[in-house]
Amino acid sequence: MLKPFRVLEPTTVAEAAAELGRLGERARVYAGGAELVLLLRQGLLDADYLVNVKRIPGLDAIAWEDGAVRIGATVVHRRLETDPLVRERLPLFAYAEAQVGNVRVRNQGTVGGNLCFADPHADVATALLVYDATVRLGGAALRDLPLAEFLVGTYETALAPDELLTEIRVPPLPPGWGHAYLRVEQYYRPTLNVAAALAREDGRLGAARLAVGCVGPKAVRLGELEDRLRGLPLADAQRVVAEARPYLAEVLEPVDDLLGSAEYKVYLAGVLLGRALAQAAERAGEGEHA
Amino acid sequence: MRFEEQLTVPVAPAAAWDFLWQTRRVAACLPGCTAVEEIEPGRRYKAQFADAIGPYKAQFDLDVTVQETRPPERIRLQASGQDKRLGASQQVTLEVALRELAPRLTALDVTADVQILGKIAALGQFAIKRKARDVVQQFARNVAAELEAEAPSPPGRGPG
Repeated sequence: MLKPFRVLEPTTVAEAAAELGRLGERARVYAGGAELVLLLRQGLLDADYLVNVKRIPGLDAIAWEDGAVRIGATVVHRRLETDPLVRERLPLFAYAEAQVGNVRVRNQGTVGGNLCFADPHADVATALLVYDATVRLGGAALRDLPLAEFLVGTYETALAPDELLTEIRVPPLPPGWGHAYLRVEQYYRPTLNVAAALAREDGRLGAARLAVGCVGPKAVRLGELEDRLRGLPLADAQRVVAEARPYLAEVLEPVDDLLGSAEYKVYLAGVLLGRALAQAAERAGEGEHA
Repeated sequence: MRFEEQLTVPVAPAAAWDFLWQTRRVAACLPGCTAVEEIEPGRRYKAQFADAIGPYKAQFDLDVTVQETRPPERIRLQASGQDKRLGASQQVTLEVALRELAPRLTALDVTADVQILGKIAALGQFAIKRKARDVVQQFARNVAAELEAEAPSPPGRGPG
């Protein structure tokens, strides 16, 4: 049963942020409601007020600006899956967006809501991490944060109580880079996902970016492993990844649960990373001739 | 969910045992424990425990029963209670075994079996398990810090 609540409809970010600051925990941001309404119905969250941010002009925009795709926080997943600019400039991200939930969820859920909900079992953050995306937070002042810093832990972000996520800035991968996004799933949600992007130089791996989600409290980049892959032929890079289980166990912080043992999750992360490297390397080769 | 923590404290088992019966000090070591009340000394207590996973807050009223004591070697207690608002229930069995490693050096083996049931499970077993593990680890660290603070200084290195 849903308890009664009031809906506030601010028309500017400053107004929305001020209301959130004033009402504190009595208010929740309503963007798509894909997760929020379920939680309210379950009684896991209380809200006397919902701050509907969908009426704020500009928050649903997708635009190219200063070498990055600017994605408003209330853009729904389905649009990101189908938008020509996103598909052209951020193909890995568009593909990951197409994996979110099902088409009903993608038509309702927003990219900002997904990031702010901060469920580690999500597609969006893992994919955006390999783009070095940043988020813009609006409130009394504007601040930009790397996505990796915005994500704090399970259901936790760096948002202050009087702040609103307004947009995500996603620079495309450098020209010629290949990419891959792979996941295993259960009941529409990813139980483990990996994103990889890399350059190829003379048949070897150049720079590489790797991210893994769903295993730990938040999706993470694998910086140390990325550095170790540079300059290796693909087969050697895959071997390094397969042998990196102690590193993965440390960085991913897996726990045993109904989705699998900690050991299994680390093993599976290694397998998916190896496959993602191969797929990305193949696409990087294609990219050179494009 | 079963968690095990081992800690070593620089006091004799008897001193560590005495500490475990100082209800308020032990409660202060448990993250989220906001109140504790003695109902029947040495046997029954009531405690309040509040914690959050992100924006999801739970508050449990717990009945604590001491199930087994073997001074100064072992204590086992059980805590159970509910969060009525969330429709969640919690049952924890906590066992602490003390072993003398050397004079003034005691090993404490802390074992916690935590069960949390109800709608809160919708947040995911992974989230609850991680939180419960963190609470048990922090409890163990806090107990170690408390006992280290009360340990007598090593000879010749004390003040004066």
